[in-house]
Amino acid sequence: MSLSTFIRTVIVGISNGMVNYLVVAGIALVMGGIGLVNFGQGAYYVLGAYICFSLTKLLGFGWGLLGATLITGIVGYFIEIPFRRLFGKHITYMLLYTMAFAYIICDIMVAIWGYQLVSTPLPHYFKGLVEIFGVRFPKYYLFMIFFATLIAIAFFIMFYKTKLGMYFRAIISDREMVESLGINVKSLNSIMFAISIALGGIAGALYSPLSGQSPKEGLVIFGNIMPILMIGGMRNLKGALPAALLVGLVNSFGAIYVPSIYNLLPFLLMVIVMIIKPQGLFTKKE
Amino acid sequence: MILEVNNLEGYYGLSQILFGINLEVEKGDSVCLIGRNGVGKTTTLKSIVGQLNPKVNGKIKGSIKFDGTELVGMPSYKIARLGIAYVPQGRHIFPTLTVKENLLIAERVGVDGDKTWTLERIYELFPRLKERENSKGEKLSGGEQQMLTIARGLMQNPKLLIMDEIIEGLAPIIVEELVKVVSELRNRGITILLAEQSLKFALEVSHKCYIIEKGEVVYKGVSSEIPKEVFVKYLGT
Repeated sequence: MSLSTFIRTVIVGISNGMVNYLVVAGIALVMGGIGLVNFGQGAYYVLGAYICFSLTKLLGFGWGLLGATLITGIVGYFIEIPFRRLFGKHITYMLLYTMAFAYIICDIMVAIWGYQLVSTPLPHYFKGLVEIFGVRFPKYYLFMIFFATLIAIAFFIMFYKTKLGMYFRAIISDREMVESLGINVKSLNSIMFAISIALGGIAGALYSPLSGQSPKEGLVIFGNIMPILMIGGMRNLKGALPAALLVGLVNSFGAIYVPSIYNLLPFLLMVIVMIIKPQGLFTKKE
Repeated sequence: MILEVNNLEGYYGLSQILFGINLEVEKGDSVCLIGRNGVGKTTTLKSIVGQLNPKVNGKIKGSIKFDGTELVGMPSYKIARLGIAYVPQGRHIFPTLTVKENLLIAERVGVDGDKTWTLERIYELFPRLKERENSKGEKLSGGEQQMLTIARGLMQNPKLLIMDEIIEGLAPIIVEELVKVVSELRNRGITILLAEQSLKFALEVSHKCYIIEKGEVVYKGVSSEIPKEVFVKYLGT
């Protein structure tokens, strides 16, 4: 493998890892905060992709990204209302309920956009390669890393440095006590859900120029994300980051060295982690 | 009367815990519910602060009036906003938040615009918390955690401070410190309602006592005037 192929493979791996991290961070946030596993998160990812596609055609790519983020966030804010009844319920119930919503969202997308595969047209300035120190990088992959990192940093600042994040962290450890301090946890849950779904939406929008999306893909995305969730450690917002990068790299290098089976590698890794370190590779044992 | 509890019945699922509790707290007073383990002290306090709600399979009947407002059926965050701060049994500090964050999260201007308690005033009363302000809650010792929960309650600038078994599991020297803290709060005119198993501590920090047995008030009186045989009869000491 030449140096430039190697570097490009790393870039592809990291960019996919960063985008997937946003999806996982969203899932982990509500998993910790509300105790809800949103198996249907993929639907909002694809929703983000479609909104980005339509808005890019109308107004341009920048508006596509912004619109996808805001609209999925608003959808998330309101979808929290029917999800309230899941609080404290068994995980099977959550699985069925969240997947039912994913089906509903996906079928609404079919009604709006049909079954056609869409991919967001890239603006000309993101097409092609850019040469840095003699190595050529695909421009859009670099942008993806940059933008996803920016969002991840913003998310971390929100979570660890702002008052809202302080509320979230408190709710994650002791919801009832937060309520007894006079804080309306229900309304914070709506905001938490909006952020979680918007993170999925941004990720879908960012990835939408790279591959064709179809609405029903929303139903399988959770499956692709599962290894990251498990390897990082459930509910572990920080651990999900190295896990997402690891899985991204395993995928990109796997695609070159073992192209016929590379899709199974993350799951193989997940199973191994579940056997030897079930709390997750990047989570301290409690 | 700042708090009036009338004929309070409390249930967890099908089992009844409280059988018609009546109690009253006057403004500025310090009242203690005393009784053995499992007689319904915590359930009474939880009923007042709204933590015994149908969502957790609990149910209450009767009436709880705070400053004339009926609390039964009100969500706990609204009850807190009326000016009731709750220091629960088992402390319930936020382990992943720093000491400072644990205090700031509770910061609230009191109902009548009361701003007595600020971070600075809290640090004056609890200098140890100032020293540890950037430590995570989980890193504190038991005694420090208990100080923090009381301090957190005060940050709400409450009209009524409710504390549940605050000396449980603490070393005698820390209990001494807590006696001082509670006395200091009493001197400042804060209305206090506590639940306690330890008779000695209860009598030191309260003006009035209610003895509770099997979900009922069996005796009430001024703490310093309760005859010894009453304690022998109900508490076995």
